[in-house]
Formats: sequence, structure tokens, C-alpha cells
Amino acid sequence: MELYELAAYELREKIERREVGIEETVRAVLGKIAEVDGAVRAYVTVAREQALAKARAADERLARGEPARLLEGVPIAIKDNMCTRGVETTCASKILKGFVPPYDATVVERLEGAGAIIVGKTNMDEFAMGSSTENSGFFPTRNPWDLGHVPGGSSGGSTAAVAADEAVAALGSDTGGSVRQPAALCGVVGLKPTYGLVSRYGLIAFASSLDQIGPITKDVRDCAMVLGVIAGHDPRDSTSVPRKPCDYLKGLVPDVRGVRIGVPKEYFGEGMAPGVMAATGAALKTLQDMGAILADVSLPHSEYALATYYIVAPAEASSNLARYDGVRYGYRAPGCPDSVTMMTKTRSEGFGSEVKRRIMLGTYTLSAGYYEAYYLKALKVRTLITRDFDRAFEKCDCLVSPTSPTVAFRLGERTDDPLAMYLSDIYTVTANLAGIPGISIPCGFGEDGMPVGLQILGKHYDEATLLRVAYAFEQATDFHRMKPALRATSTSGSASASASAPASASTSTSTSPSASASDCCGRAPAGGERHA
Amino acid sequence: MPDETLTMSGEAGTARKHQTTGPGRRTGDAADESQFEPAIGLEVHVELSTESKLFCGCSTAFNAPPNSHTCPVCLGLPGVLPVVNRKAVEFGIRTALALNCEVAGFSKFDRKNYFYPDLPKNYQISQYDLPLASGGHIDVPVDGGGARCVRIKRVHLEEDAGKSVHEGGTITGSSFSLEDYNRTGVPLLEIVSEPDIRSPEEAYAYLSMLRSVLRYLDVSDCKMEEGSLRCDANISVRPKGSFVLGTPIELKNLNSFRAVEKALAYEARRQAEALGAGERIVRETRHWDESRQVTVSMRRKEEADDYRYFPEPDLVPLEIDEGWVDEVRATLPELPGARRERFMRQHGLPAYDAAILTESKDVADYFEAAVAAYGGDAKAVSNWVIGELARLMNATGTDIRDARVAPTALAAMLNMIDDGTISGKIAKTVFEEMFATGKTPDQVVAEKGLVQIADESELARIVDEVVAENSRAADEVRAGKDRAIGFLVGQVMRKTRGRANPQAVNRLLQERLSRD
Amino acid sequence: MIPRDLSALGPAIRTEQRRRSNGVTIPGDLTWGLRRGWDLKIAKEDVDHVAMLARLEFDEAEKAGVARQLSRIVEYVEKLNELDTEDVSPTAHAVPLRNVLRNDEVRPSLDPGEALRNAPDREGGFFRVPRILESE
Repeated sequence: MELYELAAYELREKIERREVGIEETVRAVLGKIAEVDGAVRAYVTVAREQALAKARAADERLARGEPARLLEGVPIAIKDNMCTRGVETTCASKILKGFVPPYDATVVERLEGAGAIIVGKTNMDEFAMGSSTENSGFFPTRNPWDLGHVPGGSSGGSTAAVAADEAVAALGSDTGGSVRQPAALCGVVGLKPTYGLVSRYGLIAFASSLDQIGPITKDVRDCAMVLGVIAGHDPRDSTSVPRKPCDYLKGLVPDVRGVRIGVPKEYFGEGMAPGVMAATGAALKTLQDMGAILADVSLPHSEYALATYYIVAPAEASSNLARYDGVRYGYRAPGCPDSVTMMTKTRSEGFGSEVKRRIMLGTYTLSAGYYEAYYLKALKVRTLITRDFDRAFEKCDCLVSPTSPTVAFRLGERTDDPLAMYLSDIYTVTANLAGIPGISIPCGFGEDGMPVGLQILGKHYDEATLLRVAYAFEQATDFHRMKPALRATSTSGSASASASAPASASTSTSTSPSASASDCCGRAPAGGERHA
Repeated sequence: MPDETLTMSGEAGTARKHQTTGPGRRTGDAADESQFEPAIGLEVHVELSTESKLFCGCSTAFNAPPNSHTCPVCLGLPGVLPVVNRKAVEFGIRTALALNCEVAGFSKFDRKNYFYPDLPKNYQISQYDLPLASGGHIDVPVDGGGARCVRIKRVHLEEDAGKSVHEGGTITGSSFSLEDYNRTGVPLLEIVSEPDIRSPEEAYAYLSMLRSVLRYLDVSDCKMEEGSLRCDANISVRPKGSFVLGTPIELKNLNSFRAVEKALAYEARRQAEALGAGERIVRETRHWDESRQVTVSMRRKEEADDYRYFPEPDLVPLEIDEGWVDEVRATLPELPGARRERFMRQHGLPAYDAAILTESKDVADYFEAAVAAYGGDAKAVSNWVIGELARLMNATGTDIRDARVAPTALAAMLNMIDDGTISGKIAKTVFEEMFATGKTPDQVVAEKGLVQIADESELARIVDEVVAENSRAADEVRAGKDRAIGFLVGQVMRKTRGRANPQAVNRLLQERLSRD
Repeated sequence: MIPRDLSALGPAIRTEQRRRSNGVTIPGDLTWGLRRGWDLKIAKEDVDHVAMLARLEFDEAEKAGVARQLSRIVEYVEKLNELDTEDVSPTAHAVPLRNVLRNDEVRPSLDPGEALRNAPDREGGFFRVPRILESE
């Protein structure tokens, strides 16, 4: 077993026991990046020298006899929309190329304070606007399970890095599903915490009232561990909630007996791909077999969630992205005679088409005479969507659904149609609108042998229940131990890696695991390897 | 250009009465103008004198090197978030209460979106539909006694923008501009009046009153020359007696109280003439051209009215309960209006004196301290404060807080006049010396030998000398020309270097000459 | 494998297509595109205006595409008009926090030079920009 294959908690234990050095660990991960990132392209910046310097300092710390901290020596990747002092931070946008923040995001401070080593900044859809990481201003990231497919987005760089062992854990940001959807599509664990649980200070805003930073990890235990480090009140973020810290690891018991799990009927509609439906159904059966109580619930305003989201998020974004004007930092269009021209050219040249589209949409819906018809209306529907959840949670402890209606699609497949792309978020945006937490965990494989994610949604601040259910499911299954082959199927045509297709890739609908936890790992796609 | 001042703070200019004659009055066609009446509303921005900015910990100090008071937050770097300064909110509540406003129980911040290089985020955090306070009023003393009640529409908090320095000093003709973000994020309070002001002179008086109140509250230093008080105006005119307001014109670039008054006078006349000639007034923004003393139409911004306000998602709402309001209310000082009334009632001062003394809290405090130490007639104190003290402060550009004559020293000097130690005339000399050196009146009088000559025999000897030396004048007095006695008194005062009591000299002269 | 037909992707999009095929428009202020004789909710002229507000520019070919895409999205989001929200209060924040305030304390500003380090153009201690037009 290579060091980079270990989960964070396993690695930390070895480091604490001085079985491995931190520099050695970081070098192992950097080596893996060097080996596979040419194909996966998860990173926009690898902070090799900084990471090694910090690793050596951490080794010295331990050598002096200081105790190992919570994430001591764990190599972590950061989505490139979180500010890292002295390390270029771009949001995968040409307009921020070269921007070196003079400050650290709160989450970065907290991770480093807990001993984590930041190895690099990961690719994303530009300004987190997208669901495939194809909207990166630099290059698309590939799905490690099939390099011809997208990793999902917008945190696709982070999820691909974790899936490909290019980082032991990562941070993503989730505005409408941008942690959970790519986590599902890459077969890793991704959590969007309750709005206000994790500080947004230093997170480059997309839609401020929806954005949350969340952990992307190999398993649920790591997720709880990273969440415990990054969660907590921050006086620099006015929307950060002052609450007592919670020990998320303590609640990780593999027991869901008596837990009431709501199944929202609106999330099991016709749009779902059969393979996703099958995997999700099997997962529900597994949970039921483990003693959870399934209940049908209704979230009647779900069909309005996406429309609400596509008013609120672009409107806030149109304002948040106004600051990229070529005056203080980032790209400036050369040779402009006056400031208006300079700003207009800078923004038109610096932003990609999806970002411009959303700025236009947001500007339009906020402009004179339209505020009430669009933005205010959306804020009201947001209230209705939140009430749906409040009612559902009177009857159950959490809700379960697929994370995304389809598995990872092929590169280029949806780039021409913004609405089709937006539909990837149909099951995830509601949590952002209501501010509730949601987690995506691997629950099987669907079309093309690609991973399927199970989404669990919980009450405000009830991450503990999500983690417990997720952990119990994970303990009963082996999906989280599957490793991608880093190959491309023959149909993709665009990936550089091997073209040998996994045997099961074409038998997509039959790859869902049976309800029995004991035999489910036997159905892993042939292209996958397991280290369990 | 420094702002004119009604106070004696010595910042600029001389103490000045409300009655002014603006250019409109001097140059306007009185007959034409008299058919119309202006309705004026003022929008005042004051920088609150907090230590730190509204949303970050950078200092608000004026005149720092460019961009030295900036941080990621006020530079609008990617990823930063604002956190509201409690003191700024309290200053807002304080002002709202002093302006008799209703403080909103629920208030929120909004983003006002527009692009400008001095606005780092390209939106300004302001308050739109739920301002901090609304529905107030302020009584402004007007010509010939009485007061104009000007309603306050709203009071809200917002952040200031930075400063653009244009190459060559003017915006036109420069090929680039330089941006300094030190001022960015300094808390501003916007105070919007209803269009209740009826003349440019009232506008001046309103601004003076507002500034006075804000300084009493200690929420802003209100220095127009440093930009800590700024004013935009809107003005419409309507036929006298009409209840329907005309089309308002926005006036900008009003850099002093006097500019406000002059621009409004010009604009009132321009609009009256236009209406008189049957023209229509078009809603627009006009710029006051200080050098040409005219208002000029500004090219209309296409986006002028499209600020795309929406609730600031990075800030949570303010809930200001009764308890908080009461806490702030308990710390309010006596305000200038109330103090003016009290000065008239308690100290028996004329309205004019009371108004001048109370405009500045520091002056009023000085006056009351002197009155308390003196114990005599308050009017005498008032005469000295608004007379000699104001004159000397203005001449030397001294603020009353820095004046070297303590209120107790003034009182001591007044006592010396009353007990005949010094004459009223010599007192002026004494006071000048006190003002220049900070010495007590005793010290000055002793050092300069200015004690009044109390010994009548010594005075009689000098009177004899003067009569002998000025026999022609003495003869004239004897011949019944009373006017000549003044000359003789003057001669005695000269010989005594002012140390004689003029009344006593007069009496001695009369006696001396009647004996002849 | 991946459904290419949008109608398979969820109830939301089906509603929209149904509406369009019937030629039915949703209540509300939807007439301005039609007034111009456009099928599109957002005409090229609107693109110009919105782009000016957003400090963006598009060439003529792009404009048509932007108008078409925005129109489609705007039509889609107008789905919300199906809901009666007369008595519903808006949710601007997902958490019900109030009065988050800090004390009036001065904290260190950035070191000299650090503030300007990322500036595309600077002079002295200032950020430098091309001339600002009076009409701005």
C-alpha cells in the first residue's frame, strides 16, 4: 500500500507513531501528482516547494516532541477559489491570473493550524460556475474513472484529485451542488455543511448567500475529521454562526437502527438515469436492511428550486464579480484610452462565456423594473422551499436521494446547452437554498461503469446525523474503497490514456450493488481495482 | 476652500449672521422671481468619527500616505467579507434621535451596484428600503425670528468611496487618474431632508444647524474642506401658493455652505426664468461651476437610476430594540436648540447672543464655565465671548478648545473691571495679553502696571497738569463747549496710560474747571 | 447513455416545453420582447443595455447567441410565476442571525507595497487607471 492511497486518519496515525515522516508523505503525494496529473489535470497550481518546506518544519516539530495535531502531515488540496497567502489564487479564471493573495482564507488557516500540508490548488469551473469543470478558464479536468468523462463540477479538480490519490483530502465549495455532485461523479465523499458552519472568509464569492466550503475525502471518517477542523465561528464572517464546536468523530457509529430516513418522491422522477435509479434504490434497501425506517415524504416546491437558484445565484454573482475590473489586481486589457473601455475590455476578455452569461442574467434580473418579478420572487420561493424541508424534517431525521440525476457525462456533451448543464444540479440546489447540510457518498456504479453518489440531507447543524448514516452505510459497503483505473473508454476519443474499456462499462444498468453489503464489492467494474 | 462658519471656532472666516444676500438676490429680476418659490431638499453625507472603518479595522485618520490605510477588506480583494462597526451604528442611532427620527426596529444593508475606479468592489454597501431611521424633523432658525421645521426623510449608513486624483488636477484632459483607497469604507451617514426648505438662505441655516447638532453629538467633525461633510441638493420651483412641487433638479459639486447657497440661488432664478418664459424643466443633474458661478447640465448617465439594489448577503440585518435605543438616548447631550432656549431663559440673553453662543458646543461650554466662575451679569460674559474672544480667535485661527484664556481667567478679569481694579478700556489690552500669553489677568495687570489709579489726589494732580497744558481746550469748556471736555479726558487717559477711571477723570475735570 | 432529450431530465424542463409548444406565456410582465416583434424575451437591444450595466461587450454575432440563451433561461425561471407568493416573506439569508457587530478597534493595515503588489499599474503609492471620463 502506497502512502498516497491511505485515508487521512490512517496516514495521521502512522505519522503520530512516527512510522512515516511528513516530508516522505508529501513527496509520495507529489510523486503521484507528477505521475497522473498530466492525464487528470486536477491541479492548476502545485505548491511543491511551499509544501515541502512546511513538511520539513512539521517533521522538526514532531522531532522536538511536540504532539501530532488533528491533521498532522496530511497532504490536502484546496480548490482554487480559496485564498492562500503567497500562492497564486485564480478561480480558474484568466481575469485573476497572477493574483497572489496577501492573506489566507480562514479554512486555510485552520487546516494549517491543524498540521495539514497544502499541496496545491485545484481546477474548477471558472468562479465555480458550472457542473463539469469544463468551464475552467485554463483546461478541463478529467474523471479518473474514465478520462473521457467529466469529473463533475465545479469542484471537479478537488474531487478528481482525491479520487486519483493526488491528494489525501481536499476542500471544495458548494453553491448549488459543487461539492456533492463532483464527489458523486468521482466516487468520493463530499459534504456541504449547514450555511454558516464554515467561515467563508477568503472563499472567493460566487453567490454569497449559498456558498459553503466543504470537505472532499476518501471516506466518511476523514470527512468528519476535516469538518471538525474547518467548522466553527469566525468573527470575520458575519454569516458565520456562533456555536459550540462539535466532535463529529465521536458520533460515527455504524448503526442506523431507528433512524427515520425520508425519501422525497420529487427526487425520484423521470429525469433520473436508470443506473442511478438502480444504485440509489439498492442503497435505500441496504439502509432499510440495517434497521433504518424509510418514509415517503414530499418536498412539493422542488420543481421550482432550479429556477429559484438560477435567479438568486447569478444575481449575487453579477455583483460579486463586479470587482474584477483591472484596477487593483488580476488581468487588465492593454492600451485602453479610458477607464470605462479598460474595464469593459478587461472583463470581456478575462471572463469565460459561462461567467459572462451568468453576469448578464444576474444583471438583467436585478435591473430596474425586474427586481420584484425575479429576485424578490425567488427569495420568496426560497422561503417555500425551506418550509418544505422544515415539514419533512418533522417526520424524519434525514432525507436520501441520488446526488445527481446522471453519472458523469462525456466531455463536451453538454457544453452547448447551458440549461442541460444546469439540470445536473437539480437534486443538490435545494440544500443551498434552504441552508441545510448535505453529503454525497459513493453508493455504486451506473451507466458506463461510472460512480453513483447517494445524497443525504439533514436538518440545520445536524451534520452529525448525516455523518452517522453515511458512516454506517459505508461500513456496510465497499464502494469507497474502489479505485479508478485512470483510463479512458474507447468511445471518449479525447483522453490521452489507455483506451481499454472496463468490461462492465457497457452493461451500465446492471452494475448497481445488491442490497447485501457482503457481496456488493464483487460488482465493482472491471476497470476498478480495490485495495480493501 | 474652507467652509464658512457661524461658529467662532476660528476654522475660517468671521462669525456671520444668517442673513445673507446671495447672487440670486443681487442679480435676479425681482419681479420675475417673486412669482415663484423654491422647494429645496438637501442630501447630506457626513463621515462618522469612528476610529476604524465601517467594515474593517483600518484607521479612518485623514491625510495618511496614499493606500496606507487599506487592507484586503477595504481594497475589495477577492474573498473578503465585511463586519459592521458597532460604534458606527450607535452614532447613527444617536444622530437619528437628535433629529427626532424613528429608529427602525429592523434594518438591513443593501448593495448599490455601479462601476467607478474609486469603488473597489464596484458596489457600495448602503441601505435602501429599510434605512436605520426615518421620519424626523429639525427646527431651523430663520430670518426675523421663528423657525422652519424641516422634515428628515431618512438617515442611513453606508461606506465611503476612495479618492481619484486626476493628472493635472482636472478630470477632463488628464490621460490617467490615481486611486487612493484610504477613504474607502469610512462610515458615512446620509441624512436626507424632505423638500421643505424654502430659500437658499434657509438651506444655509439648515446646514449650519445640522452641523451644529452633529458636532454636539460628537459623531462627526463635519469639516467640509476635508470632505467629512458633503452636500447635494435638489431644487424645484413652483408658482407661489401652489401645493404641487415642480420638477426637481439635482445639484452636485457643492463644496462649501456658501456654494450650496449660491448654487441654489442661481438655480432658483434659472428655473423661475425658464418657467416664466414658458419652458419646461427637465429632470437632470447639474454641476455647480464655482469659477463661473453657474450650474451646468451634466451628461446624463444611462445607468443613473439603475443601481440594481439588492440585500447585502454578506451582512445580517440589524435589530434595534427599545432597550438599545434607550441606552443611546440616555447619552444624548443637550442639543443646540434646547440650549439656546435655556440660555435665553436662564441667562437672560438676547436671542442673537444665545444663537451664536450655542452653535458650537465648545463655545457654549466655555461661556457657561465663565458665567459660573464669574457670578455677575451673563450678558457681560457673552459680550466678551462673542466680541473680543471671537475676534482674536478668528484673527489667529485658533479653536476655542486651544484658546489660552481659560473661562476662569475671563471671569477673574471681569471681576477686576467690576471692582475698579482695571478700566473697561484697559481690560481690552489685558485680554489681548492673556490671549497671547495664557497669563492670568492679575499677572498681566501687575507686570504691565495697569492697575487703575485709585488715589484721587494723584489724579487731581494730573488733571491740573492737563488743564495747564491745554488752556485753549479748558477755555472752551469753560465757555460751555461740552465737547471739548472729551479731549481733556483723553489727555488724562494718555498721561495715565489708561489707568485712570474715565468717569472719575470727567468728574475731576468738571470740578477743576468750574472752580476757575 | 446520457439522455440527450431534455424532456427526460426532469419535470421542470417538461413544464417549460409544454408551455412553449402551446404558445402560452406565463402571467407577468412578459410582453416587452413581444412588443419589439421578437420571439425572444431578451432582444439584442436589451443585451446592449445589460452589457453596458455589467461592463461587458459582445460582438454582433455573440449578441444574438446571448439574447437567445438568456431568453431561454429567463423563460425557464419565470416558472416561478406559477406560485402565489403574495403572503410569503423573502429569505435573503439561510441563517437567522442578527446584529453581528464588531468593536471600533483599529487593526493593522497591509504593509506599504503589499496593497499595491497585485496592481496592474501603479504610481507612487497609488493605483493608476486610464483617464476617467466625466460622464462616468
